[in-house]
Parts: sequence; C-alpha cells; structure tokens
Amino acid sequence: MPAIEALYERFRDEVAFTVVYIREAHPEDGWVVIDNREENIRVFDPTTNAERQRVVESCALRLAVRIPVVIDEIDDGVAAAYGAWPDRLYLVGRDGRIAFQGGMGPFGFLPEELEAAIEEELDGQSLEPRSTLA
Amino acid sequence: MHPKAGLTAAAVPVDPNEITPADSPLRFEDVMASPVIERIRTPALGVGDAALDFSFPELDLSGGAPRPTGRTFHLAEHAGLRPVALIFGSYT
Repeated sequence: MPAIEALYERFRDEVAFTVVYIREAHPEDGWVVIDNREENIRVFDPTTNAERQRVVESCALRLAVRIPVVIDEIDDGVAAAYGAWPDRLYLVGRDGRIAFQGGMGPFGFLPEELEAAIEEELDGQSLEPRSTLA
Repeated sequence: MHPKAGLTAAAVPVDPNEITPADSPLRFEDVMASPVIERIRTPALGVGDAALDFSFPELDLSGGAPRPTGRTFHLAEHAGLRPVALIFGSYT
C-alpha cells in the first residue's frame, strides 16, 4: 500500500480516498497462498457482517492505513457492482461517473495508473462548470 | 491489502499454483470457476457509467486499531465537489 498512501498524501486535499474492504482473496478456507503462510496471515472467510468487522479489527495493526476504511456488506453488493475482487482501483469523477477503472488485481492493481487518472481529472477541472450543489 | 498489489505484469507467475501450498482447500482454477467469485471479480460498471452509490460507516485504522470516525462515507455526497479514489481490497 505504500504507493497508494503516497497518492493519498499528495492528493488528499483535492480527492476523497476510501479503502473498501471486500471479501478475502486468500482465506484459509479458500485459495491459500504461500506468501501469507510465510507471514503467518491466516484468515477464514467471514460469513456475517460482524465477522467481517472482526477481521478488519484483527488486521488493523498490520494494515495501519492512513486512508479511511469502509467495509462492504456480506452480500458483496458493492464488490459485485465494481468487480472489485481481489483488489481493484477506481476513480469516480466529479460528475459522479467512473473516470478510471483499474485492472483486476493483483497484477492489474497499478497505482501509477490511478495517479495518471487523478492528474487528468484534476487538469480538466478548471474547464468544467463548478457545481451548484450545496 | 493483497500481498501482490502493485507488482508489475512482469512479475506475474507463470503458474498461479506455484504460489499455492499443497494443503490449500482450493486452487486457482477452483476459485476462477466459482460463481460467487465470478460475480465479484467481473465489473458491472465501466468507464463513463454512473458510479454505483454506496454509504458505509467510516473507520480510521491509522493508529493500528480501528476507530470509528463518526462519519459515514457516502459516495454520492462527493459528486460535483471532488473526485473519489476507491481502493478495493482485503487483508489476504
């Protein structure tokens, strides 16, 4: 997450950032990967909202992200709309439309692409009429 | 966040099962064939589409322990004001 945190520090005054915690990618009862075993990361896939909350609580110390975090509900409704699993980056433009959709993680999870999308969005900002929303 | 997040395409393993221990309940191909996973790995939205609105209580994990900020993140509230970067991921 260091690259994402760096983007957050650079753009936090102009862009809202939110980490959305979704269904586990490599739970112990699913597809386990060796890297997690080596780091003693062992998480079973939550089956309730309360369990999902507890996983976030238990991993908070290791994550320690500065970006605010929200938790998708156990029906995975948000993850399904955004095709977010296992991880994915998005930028929603000021117009409320998707300005950037990153590739499927982990290998399509490219912070430099998000950075470019933010720069493009902000560059175009002055050309757009300002919202009259309160 | 996923341990491989941020790697470049050049680092993609040839065989995903090279990173799978022998006692893993599922393997890469099992996961990719799962309808549950298919649903959440396939975007229903694309560039130019209206973003699906959502609203959840916000947590601050920066101190190493989750602390409710007292705020609710509501995507639609940012419309017309600022772009929003969404970072989806999990612990593993």
